Amino acid sequence: MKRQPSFVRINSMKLCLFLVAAILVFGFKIETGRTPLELKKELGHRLFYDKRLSENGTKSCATCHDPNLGFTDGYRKSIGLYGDETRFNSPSVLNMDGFLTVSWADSALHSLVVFLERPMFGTTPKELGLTKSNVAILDSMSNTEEYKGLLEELGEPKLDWATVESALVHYISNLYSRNSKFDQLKEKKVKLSKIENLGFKIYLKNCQRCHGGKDFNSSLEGGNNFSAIFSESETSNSTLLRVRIPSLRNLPITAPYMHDGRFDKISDCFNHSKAKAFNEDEKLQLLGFLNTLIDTSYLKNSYYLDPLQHYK
Amino acid sequence: MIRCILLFEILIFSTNTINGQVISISDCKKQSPFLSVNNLDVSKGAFSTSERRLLGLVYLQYDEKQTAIVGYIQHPTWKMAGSLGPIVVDDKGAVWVAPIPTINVLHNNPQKQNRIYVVDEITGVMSLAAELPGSALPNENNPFGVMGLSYDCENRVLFASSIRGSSRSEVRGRIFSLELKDSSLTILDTLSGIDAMGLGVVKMDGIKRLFYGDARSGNIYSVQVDVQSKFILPARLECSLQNLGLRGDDIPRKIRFQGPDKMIVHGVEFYFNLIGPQEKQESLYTFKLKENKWVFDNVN
Amino acid sequence: MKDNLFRTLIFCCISVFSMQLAFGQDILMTKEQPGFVQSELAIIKDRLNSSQPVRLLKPTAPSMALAEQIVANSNQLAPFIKDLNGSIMRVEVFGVFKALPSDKSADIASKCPDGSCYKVELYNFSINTAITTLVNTQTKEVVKMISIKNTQPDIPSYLKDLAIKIAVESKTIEKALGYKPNSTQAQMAGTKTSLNKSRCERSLHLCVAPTFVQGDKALWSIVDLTEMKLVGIRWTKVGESEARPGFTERKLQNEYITNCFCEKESKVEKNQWKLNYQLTSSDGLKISKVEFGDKKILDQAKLVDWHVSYSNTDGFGYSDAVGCPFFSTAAVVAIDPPEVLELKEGNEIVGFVLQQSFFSEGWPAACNYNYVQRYEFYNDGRFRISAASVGRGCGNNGTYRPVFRIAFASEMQQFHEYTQSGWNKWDSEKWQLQNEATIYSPEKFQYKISLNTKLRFGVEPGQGQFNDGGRGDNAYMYVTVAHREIDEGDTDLMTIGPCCNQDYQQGPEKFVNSEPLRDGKLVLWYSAMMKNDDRPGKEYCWAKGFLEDGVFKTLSFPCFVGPMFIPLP
Repeated sequence: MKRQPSFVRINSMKLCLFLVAAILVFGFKIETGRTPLELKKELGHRLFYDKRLSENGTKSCATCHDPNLGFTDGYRKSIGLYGDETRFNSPSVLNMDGFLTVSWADSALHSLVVFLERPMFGTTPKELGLTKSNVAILDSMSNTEEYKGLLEELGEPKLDWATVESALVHYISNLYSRNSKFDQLKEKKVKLSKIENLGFKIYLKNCQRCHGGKDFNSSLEGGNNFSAIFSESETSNSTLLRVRIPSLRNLPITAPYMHDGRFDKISDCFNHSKAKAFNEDEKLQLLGFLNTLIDTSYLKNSYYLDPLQHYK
Repeated sequence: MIRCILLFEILIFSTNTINGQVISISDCKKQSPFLSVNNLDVSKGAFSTSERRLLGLVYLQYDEKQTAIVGYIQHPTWKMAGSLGPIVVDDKGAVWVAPIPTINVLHNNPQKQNRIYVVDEITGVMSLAAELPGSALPNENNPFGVMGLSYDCENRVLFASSIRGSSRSEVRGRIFSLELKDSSLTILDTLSGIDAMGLGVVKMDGIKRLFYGDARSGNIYSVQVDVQSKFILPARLECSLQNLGLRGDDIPRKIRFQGPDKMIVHGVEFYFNLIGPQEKQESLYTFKLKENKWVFDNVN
Repeated sequence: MKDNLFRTLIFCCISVFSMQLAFGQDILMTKEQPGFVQSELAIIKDRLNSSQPVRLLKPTAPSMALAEQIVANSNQLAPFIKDLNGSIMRVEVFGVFKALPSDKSADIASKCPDGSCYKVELYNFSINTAITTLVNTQTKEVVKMISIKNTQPDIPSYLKDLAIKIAVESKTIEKALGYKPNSTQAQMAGTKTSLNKSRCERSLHLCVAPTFVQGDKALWSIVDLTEMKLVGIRWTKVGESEARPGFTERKLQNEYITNCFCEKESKVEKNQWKLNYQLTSSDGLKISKVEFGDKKILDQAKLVDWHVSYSNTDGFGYSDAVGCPFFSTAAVVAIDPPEVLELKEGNEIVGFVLQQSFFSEGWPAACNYNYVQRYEFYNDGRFRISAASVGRGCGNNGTYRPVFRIAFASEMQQFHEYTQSGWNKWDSEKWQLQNEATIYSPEKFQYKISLNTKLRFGVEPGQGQFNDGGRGDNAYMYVTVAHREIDEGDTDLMTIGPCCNQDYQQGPEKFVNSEPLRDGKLVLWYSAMMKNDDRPGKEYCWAKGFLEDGVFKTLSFPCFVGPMFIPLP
């Protein structure tokens, strides 16, 4: 056998050493090319759709936040695990970075991690019905093919509640819908029709004061997310509270409206500020403008959709 | 040793011929091997075809006390036949099922209801075992086919009742005896002109008889079955659900035997149309064997 | 004011949940009840409003009279007298007897010694429950009380007499027998078991069956003692092996409906309108060969499916078909026959309605359904095809989507949609959604259809304008070519769509293939969408029970949808 030239030998050795060092330093990055952040988002993506993350295996986060409904669920108030109504209408979880607060009624709640404790561990009513002491659910999920590989990549031995919450936050915080016709207007890709333009003017005059900002959910007076006083529900002795201003994005697919889902139609909401009663033409024009805020292009992105279909 | 065997055989033979008693020959179901492969605790589970939110066959898992359902598994093929009705688990752990449309025929094409499917005991995969012959085509007035199943453990024979093609004016239903061999079925015998639903095979006084519930009158008949699993006519009327219970005109959907003298009949409302989505109207009727006659005992 | 009154009448339409067999004119409507029945009902009403709402038997033996008094005034009976809302339920003492040893268990025997122990049997008409009590008249206490739902004790003689009187006075019985019988001819002995196991199952009422023997036959009558009316009759041959008829009220109704309306077409000719109608296996009440004057309007119209969704995200729900009660693919069936009723606007009669209801038996309890179909025919040539859900369904977050199929008569049909730029003709098969942003013509039409050069109709979808409680159709309209050679729904359609799609995929899209609409015959498919609502004061697609005169009645809030077709000049 012919002896290899020395430079080949030396380079081969260096190559091997380099690869070993790379593996030791970078771990699985060489194999997957994904950062820990991406891995967490992917973990959160699977957890978001996984019905095993509920006490009786029948609900997931996506049950109340369905991408086809703008990440809401179409109910006036959501239904908990055992059929009880929740306090409020299910809010969309798109564009969460556009909200200063994360709750309908708690203006001091800014942390999504803290807020997640309610649907996950809350009991009035039970939404997912989980308990922190019950780690058996997480142990069994950790051993399944959906999570085992991912956890190994993350360097986590198994799921725990902190990991779950963190992953969900990472996933939810990266759900965006800002590619509507109106958004594209700024880039001069489209033009508004006559009706839409008229509607825009009505919006500027009557609605922007509260529904301002890039996500149409900020009060221009003070830049906060909270509105005037509303009754919590429509019963005569209902308590009064301030509610978070909802976004005007994707309205046609996020009915019913308001914090308690009291309105079935968009036009029912027009008069709540009592600013003005619109005539029929104005209603149509305003509706025309609001339709320019629809963006469901995210439905073509698998990041927003159920990754677990084939595991059912 | 031979004496012991002889004695044993005499005992078996004599128990088969004790007067006024029945011996069930359907209770031989074995736990399906494919369940064990999936690391399931099979002592706390059961197959079901009547879960409201789940189409097809599922295997339900219960909690320690066996009072609450904690989960379920469903192989993708278990939905292939749509809504299912009767289930039989045989002595190897294979699961035999038949489709019955519920509420609507969206998942149950009426052309495909005269069928029996089998879930293989090793792989857990469901496949078509038999398409039974019908004397008439299904029609919009009767979307049903196979209605009842019962298993004879001794001879490894499956009995099936079908009402396919029957109409208001004509009874075209059939009862089949089918031999099981390697997950396929061969017809051994056919009784025609009977619209039957629930089936139960049992030995009475040493003689094998197939009990069947008439889907029109609520009467329960039995017919003798010979050693080759062929039917020996005439059938005889055993008892009836007529005028019993809350509704008074229930049809025997399922027949099972318990102990030496008890027959439990699941009676349902049935008019050859689909059941609405409200709770199923079903009652359990108990009959006791007294002096070789089935006497109504109680209803729940 | 007039609108509000009309709306109130519609919203609060009293649907007395009763069986409407058209066997005789003396059935069901309170105003047609005989005088003695009305007197009896008045006595019941007065008693329910009194301080002692429980009807007592008033036996002559003082100890027995004392026993029933003790029970009637006991605290244990209170939950059976008032419901959770405080309304009074109709409760009556059916029997007072000396308690037998077999009535007493070992633990009770010492508390209720012979000589002072009595059994008092009561019946609650409202919840169809028998209540059996043991009373110690010495200590004046109720020592045992058992209630059993859906059973009745032996009925007292006054109710037996009342049942016989209702049967004897009935025109239906007179017509069936050929003469008016007298009370001594009514035999009750043979019906004793019927007393214990009531057959009035659809309404869970107390029923008995007085029987009249004529030659070798017997005429059985079912009398509903809760509502005090005759509800059905049946002939049997005397001398059959069983004295019992082996029939049930449900079977009677189903046979009548099937014989008269499922297996043959019926006709209506009224106010220049001419049409056939028939109950189908799974497409509800179908109308066909509809003509107005000398003009053919429709080949056929019917209700193909009801899609009911309870979970927008889980896809849980049902696809119901409505139709015949026997031998059909209907899950919610017709119990009553189709009705032809006057159509009024205000006080003026402007046409007629052909109406059909389909019920689940336990309605208005949860997970039971009531659907109504209405075909409205106006004297001026308008017509409307509509349907409603009247609750109750399996939840208050339900979405109902009926699917109509409407096939117009005549060739040379064209379909137009009103848009911002005016009327726009559809050249190929497609679908369109009606929503808040839909633009309508000045006459409120979203579409129009021409049947030929002389006959055109504007299509006005529901937007809550029809004074029927409807809040808007939110409908998908699909237009497809009517194929002669392929059956795309001419005959009974099996369920064509799943329960819970939230978009245009409700079933008819299967027939939409972008085929060109070449001025031939068209088929319109119309799928509306209604969300139910149980909020007090805003009920929609809902029903609830309430107690009136001691028995439960139903308050219904139907949600009507469906397009109006208006002839264009």
